[in-house]
Amino acid sequence: MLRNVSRQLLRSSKVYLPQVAVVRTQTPAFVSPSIISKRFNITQSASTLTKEDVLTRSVSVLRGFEVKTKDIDLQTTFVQDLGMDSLDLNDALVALEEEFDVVFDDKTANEIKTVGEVVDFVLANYLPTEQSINHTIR
Amino acid sequence: MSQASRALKAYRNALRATSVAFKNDLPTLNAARNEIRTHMKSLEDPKGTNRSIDERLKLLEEVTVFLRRNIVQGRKVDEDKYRLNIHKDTELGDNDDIKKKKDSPSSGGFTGCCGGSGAKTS
Repeated sequence: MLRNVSRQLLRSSKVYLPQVAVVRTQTPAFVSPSIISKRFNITQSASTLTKEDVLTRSVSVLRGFEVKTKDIDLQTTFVQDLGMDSLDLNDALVALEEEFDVVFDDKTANEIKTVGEVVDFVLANYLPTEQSINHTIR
Repeated sequence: MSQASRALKAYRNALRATSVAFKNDLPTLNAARNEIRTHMKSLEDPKGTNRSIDERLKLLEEVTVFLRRNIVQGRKVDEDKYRLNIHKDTELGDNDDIKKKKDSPSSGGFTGCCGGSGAKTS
């Protein structure tokens, strides 16, 4: 009897297999830098200076001194054209150091004659500013 | 280095030091720079002590160091509190200086006290 009961049970039993969920993960898509910068509000400050930028800013600084002429370009000499003496020239050099965050070494400072030489030195020694991230977002 | 080169170098360094010492304090910065410029332009010693050019340049170099290391700006933040702008060039002492004993006549050696003959004291 027991055998019959067991046979009936086997015939009527259904085998339930566990449902295995297969989750297919998405492959990460390539995210372009422009999307990243917009989403995370990353601002990139100007990191390169052009010769024109340096000249414009240098002229602005030099016009703050008592100079013989306001027409200043790359060929302008500090002593002959601008009428500066050695102390005035060093005043101007220190002001330009503060404007561009550079330091003129002694040799360069003693030999500089024209505005163009200042511009060349600044371009060669200027350190670009770092990228800034909006920390409030992060 | 020629005297002229030394003078210009000292002048530049002095101007840079005023930027450090009087940052964001335009009236004091301009006053300090004007004073330095006046002394540099003057052929004679403005203080009237007849110092040589080398002595005046040495003084300027010492003033530059003093401006950088021994002047600290302070801003009042409370009734009796000031926030000090101590920067990387500010001279900071160390605790060892306080621990050093001051030299005294009885601290050893062959000196006598009260003008004595110099007998060794213990």
